[in-house]
Amino acid sequence: MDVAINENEMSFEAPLVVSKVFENCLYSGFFGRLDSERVKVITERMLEAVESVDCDYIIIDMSNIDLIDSAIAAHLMRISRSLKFSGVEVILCGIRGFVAQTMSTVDIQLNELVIQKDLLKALDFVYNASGYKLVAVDK
Amino acid sequence: MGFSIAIRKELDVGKCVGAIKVYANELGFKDSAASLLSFAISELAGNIVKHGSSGEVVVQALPKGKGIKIEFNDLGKGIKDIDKAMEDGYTTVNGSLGIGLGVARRAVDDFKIWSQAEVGTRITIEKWFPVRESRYNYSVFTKPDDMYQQNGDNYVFHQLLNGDIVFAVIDGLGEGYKANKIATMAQDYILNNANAELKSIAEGISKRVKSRFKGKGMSIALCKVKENRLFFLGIGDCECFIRRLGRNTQLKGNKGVLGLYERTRAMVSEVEILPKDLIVLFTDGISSGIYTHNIKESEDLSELSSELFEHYRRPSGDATIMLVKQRVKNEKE
Repeated sequence: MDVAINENEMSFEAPLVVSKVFENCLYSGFFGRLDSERVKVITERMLEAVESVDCDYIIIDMSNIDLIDSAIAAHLMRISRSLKFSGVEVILCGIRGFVAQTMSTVDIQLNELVIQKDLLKALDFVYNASGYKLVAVDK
Repeated sequence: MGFSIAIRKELDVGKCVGAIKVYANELGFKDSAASLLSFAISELAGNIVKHGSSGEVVVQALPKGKGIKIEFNDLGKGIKDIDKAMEDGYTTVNGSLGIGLGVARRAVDDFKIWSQAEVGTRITIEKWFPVRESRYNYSVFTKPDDMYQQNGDNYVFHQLLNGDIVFAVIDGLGEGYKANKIATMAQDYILNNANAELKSIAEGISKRVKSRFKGKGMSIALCKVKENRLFFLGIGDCECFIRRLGRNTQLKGNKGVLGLYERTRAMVSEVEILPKDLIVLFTDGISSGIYTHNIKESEDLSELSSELFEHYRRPSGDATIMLVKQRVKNEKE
């Protein structure tokens, strides 16, 4: 039987886009299932990214994740801790309603992480913490 | 019907979660129940890999549309101390939160674990469909005889998984402690056998009375609503009537005392229920003058039951009245 894509390669298929959204803030998102191999790759890439770009915050968008189990929660905290050692704070945003509901039902906690409702709120948090405010311009 | 999935490496866990999600979806799981199920599978299948062993996940639907059952078998080292493993924060794996088993148990309706050192571990979980919201409202008003602390009357209102409802008022022979015991036994029996036909429920209660409370007995008004049909089995002086369009119509019961002497062929009445019908059940502490009462149309059953109770309560004896009515649908529904 021909196999077009090796299964092991598939697990590494973690398209990680990191972009700068503010002078001291990066933005990235997760897709699909987070297993330990992918988390390793993601953590490395994020560390590379924060090294090459000057930043204090990284916002991680969770809106494409439909399951956070205890292993994934542990991974998230590990990523956050690794980045903290590089002086970068992780802000999670966009955790979906039913994911949040499940986590609270079974009592999984993400104590060490900063969590904001959505990207807008997360950005607001960064502006605030950096001493900026978003104001409308009179034209 | 069902299937199994082999778990050998971490990638299989995601596949397993995905495959069962599709299957559970076809069975009818959605929203938070589906999400909790995926969660539990992810924890338990993930556990197999996390502890460096391989295993198999067996999936099957539960009979009678109750839900889904999933079995996780692994050939690992086994769990030394199951109680400890269930505690949050306990782990033998570095970097794990150690809450996997506990959180998985909290996500499902049934959780069984079996493990033997050096042989392996088997965990079975069941996730049941959420019980539908009842289509019926009910209210019960009951008081013991003034001379006694304990009530010899009792009642049941129970909704089955298929949406049928079973309800009853029970009057244990006599008053006080013994009457209370026998009525409570009947209540338990009905709850545990609510799936059965009314006749076999009555027979089961009768057998228990004869074996455990020789010489005692009870009156009972036992009802089941299937779709829009009401089935009524009355024995002794617990009675039932339906108020429809301003008239009270009594349903025919049977003479006797359940458990002591009853007719071998108890009759079950059957009648169609209309949306605005009020079903009234009462024990002999309520006077039969209630049949002539022009009961006002109301959705506030608790107010109605207390009014009727005060009005028709006899001077002595335990008394109970139960009202059952279809819930008025909101516009949104």
